[in-house]
Amino acid sequence: MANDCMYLWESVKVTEGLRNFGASAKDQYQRMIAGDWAPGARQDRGMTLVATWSVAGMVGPYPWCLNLWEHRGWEGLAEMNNAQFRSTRQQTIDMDKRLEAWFARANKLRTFVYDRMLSPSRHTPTLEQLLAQGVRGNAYYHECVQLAPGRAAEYQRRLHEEWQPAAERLGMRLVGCYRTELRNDSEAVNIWALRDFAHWAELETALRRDPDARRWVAATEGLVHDWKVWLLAPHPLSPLQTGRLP
Amino acid sequence: MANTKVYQWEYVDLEPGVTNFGTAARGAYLEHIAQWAPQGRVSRGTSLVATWAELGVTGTWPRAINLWEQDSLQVLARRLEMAENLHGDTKGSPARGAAPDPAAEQWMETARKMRLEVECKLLFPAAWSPTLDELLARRVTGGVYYHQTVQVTPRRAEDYLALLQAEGLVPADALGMQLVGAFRTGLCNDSEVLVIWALRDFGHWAKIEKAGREEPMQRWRAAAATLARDWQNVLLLPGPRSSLSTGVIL
Repeated sequence: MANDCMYLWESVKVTEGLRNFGASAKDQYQRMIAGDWAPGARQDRGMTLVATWSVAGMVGPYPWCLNLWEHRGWEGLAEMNNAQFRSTRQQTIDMDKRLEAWFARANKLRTFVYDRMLSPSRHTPTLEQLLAQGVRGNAYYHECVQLAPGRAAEYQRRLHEEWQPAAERLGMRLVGCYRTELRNDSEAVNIWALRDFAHWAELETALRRDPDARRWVAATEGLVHDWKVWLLAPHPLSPLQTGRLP
Repeated sequence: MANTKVYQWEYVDLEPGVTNFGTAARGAYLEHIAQWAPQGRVSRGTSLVATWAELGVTGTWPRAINLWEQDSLQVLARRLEMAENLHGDTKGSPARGAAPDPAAEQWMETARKMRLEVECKLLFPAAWSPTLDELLARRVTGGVYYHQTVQVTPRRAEDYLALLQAEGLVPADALGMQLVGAFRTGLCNDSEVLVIWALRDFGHWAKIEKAGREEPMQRWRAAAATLARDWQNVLLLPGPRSSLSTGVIL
């Protein structure tokens, strides 16, 4: 059955946390997300945490975290926004008052967030399916792919048909293949679970040499304009790691 | 009557506000803008169309957007002159002979604790884009606003606006989207268009997103793709004292 959920991709800079709490800032923030926010948010806002990761700073931006949330379609995203902004009065424009303490602490950790709304490809598993299939990694490979405008759906279809079987042969397990919404079908986000960072090192070499990988890159020339990879380290409280819904 | 006004669009980074004021920073900044607006209108000839908070889940947090309307480029030029002369030299004297403006200085001092960087754009409206007076007369207002930035083929911004008028307004109207403004960005190669719509609420927005993948919006998207190289949308939350929220010019 096609996945008709929507996803919120949330990248969070925790520089303020470094200032206030030191090197544990990322972990503290992720505990607030996975331990404190996620269980209630699933009930109150219909937002289910898929995972919270730390972006590997040595090969990407530091100090950043990444959260992925699953929602019940566009209406689910509207439900989340309604819950947060239920009043247009000045005092409550930013938050649900019940969450004041959570936000007060969060504001000591992060002062900048950049988000994307993502729709999944037809064959992207839901969180429940991911858990049932035991998809998890000790490292994750996150690709942000810039595409020729209007061709995101074509890219997703071809990824499943032409690349996913070869990627799985290389040990990559697909967490999701998503299209970025609110723009011109010009970006995709793919997330793969890897065994660990040693697996990533092997993979990096294989992606240059493996005939199927080379074929995939060549075949998508013109469709794919550019891409950038982040390596992600999962937080132990992340649902993909615990194997349980929040 | 054709809209011959000029607009200033401000995109404001509120990271220091979160540090200094906590979660209320965005609301506090929107209120700070609302407090400035009457003075800006009297002393600088600029009217606040709206002040909005960008909805972080659709883009960046914490950010605010202000839209100001001026009668002409000359009025804006006068504003620029006043702004650049605002701060005195190191001895506290007003720069280049300008008169001191303690009210503005005081406002700026508070603003400094809230915002870090500001990115501005000069916007020229399509002739059929409503002025602030017309927006208020038509009671255009929203619980949430849809802000579209469209990158178009260089030198084709006016063509894109003409296409929007001819083919985009009708399907948007059928979906209940109320036009706040359609602009080309100045000081560049006619390669960018901004369009802002008022929506009823988040439920209305969800319906629009779903409708975007169906006819007739798909037909409009296909037509727009002949000129639009790329585009990006964000949702905005209105400041409660914005002119569009209250129906009264601040």
